[in-house]
Amino acid sequence: MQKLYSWMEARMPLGLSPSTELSAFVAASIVNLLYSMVSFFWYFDYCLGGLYADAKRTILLSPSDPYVSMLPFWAIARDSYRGFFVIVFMLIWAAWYHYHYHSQKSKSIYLMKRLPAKNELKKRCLTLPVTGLLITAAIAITLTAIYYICYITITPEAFL
Amino acid sequence: MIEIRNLSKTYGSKKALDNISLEIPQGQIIGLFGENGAGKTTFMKSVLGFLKHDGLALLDGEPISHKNIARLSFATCEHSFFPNLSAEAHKDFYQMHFPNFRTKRYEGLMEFFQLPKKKALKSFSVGQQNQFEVIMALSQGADYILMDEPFSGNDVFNREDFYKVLLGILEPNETILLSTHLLEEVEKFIDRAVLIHQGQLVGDKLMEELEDEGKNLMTFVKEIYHYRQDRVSRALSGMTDMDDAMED
Repeated sequence: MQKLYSWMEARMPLGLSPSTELSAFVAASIVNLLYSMVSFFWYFDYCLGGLYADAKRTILLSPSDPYVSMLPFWAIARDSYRGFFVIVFMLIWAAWYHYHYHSQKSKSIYLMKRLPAKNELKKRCLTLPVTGLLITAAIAITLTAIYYICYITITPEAFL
Repeated sequence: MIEIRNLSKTYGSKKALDNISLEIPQGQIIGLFGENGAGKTTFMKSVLGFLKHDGLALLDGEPISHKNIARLSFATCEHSFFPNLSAEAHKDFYQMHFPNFRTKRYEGLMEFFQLPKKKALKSFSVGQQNQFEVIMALSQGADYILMDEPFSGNDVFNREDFYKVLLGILEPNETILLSTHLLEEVEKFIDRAVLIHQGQLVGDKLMEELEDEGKNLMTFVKEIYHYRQDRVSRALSGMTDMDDAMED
C-alpha cells in the first residue's frame, strides 16, 4: 500500500492526501459496481420471467407469440451504467479541483508554473483522474462482458 | 541580462502596463516602486510568463520559457508555497526540480530565522511565512530573484534582519528586483530605482546618480510623481472650511 501511496503522491498536488483520494474513488467504485450489478441482474431476471408461463419458470412461452419477446441486450444493460457517468463526472471535478487547489490559501500555482519541468502541473492535476477514468472504463468493459455472457447463456436460445 | 521590450498588458479596456522597456543586468539590486495598482505585480507576473502580454521578455537573448525559467525565482506576498507541506518537503521538491538549489543557504537561513522544518507552513505566523517565501526564492539557485512586496506583514526588526542577511549572502552574479513601498528602508542597499506609474515606466535611476545630484530616493520619487508638498494642508484647510460652513 505504501508503494501505491508513494506513486500517487508523486502524481497529485503536493499536500493532498493520497489515502483520501484513493478511499473516495474505491468507495464510489464499489457503490457503482453494486448498483450496476443489482440494476442489470434485477432487470434481466424480470425480462426472463416474462418468457415463462409459470412462476417456477418451467414452461417456456412460444417465441412466435407476438406479445412475448426478450429485450435486446443493450436495452437491459443501459440503466446499469448510470453510476459510471456519476464517477466520470466526479473524476472531471477532481481534475478541476486539483488545478484550483493550487490557488487556495496560497498561490502555489506560481511555483508550479515556473518549474523547469513543463508538464509537472498537468501531471499532478490530471494523472489520477485519467487513471481513474481508465480503471472505470476497464470495470465498465469487464462488466459489459460478464453481462453479455450471462445474457447469451441464460436467455433461452429461441428468444435470442 | 533580462531585457524587456515594449511590454504591454491590458485587462479589458484598462491598460495595466503600457509599452515598458527595461534592461536588468546581472548583479544589480533594483527597487521597483509605484503606487498601489501602478502595475508592479503585473510587470513581474508578465516577465515570469504567468500573464499573457504583448511585447518581449528575454533572458540572455532567449524568450523566458521552461528552458530557462529556473534562472528566475519569485517571492510574493501572496505566497507561492504549499500550506499543507512542511519546509523540509518544500526543500525536497525544490531540490528535485531546481538543479542549482542552494542547500547550504537554505539551511543557514532556516536556522537564522529559527523556522520549524517539520511543521506544515499553514501553522506558521504570517511573518514566518513571508520569511520562508523569501528563503525559498533565495535558495532556488536563480540568477534573478523577483520579490513582490515580500515583507508585508513583517515587523521592522524582522525586515532589518532580512536586509542585512540579503546583503551578506548575495553573490555578485545574483540580481534582485524588489517591489516595495518601503522606500526609506531599502534605499540604503539598492543600486537602482525603477518607478512605474499607471502602467508606464516613469523613472529609472542609479542610486549613484541620485547621490551625485544630492537627492535621496524619496525626493526623487516625489519629483517624478509631481507630489504637491501642500497637499495635506490644502486638504485639511478644505475640511476645516466645510466644518465652519456647517457651523454657520
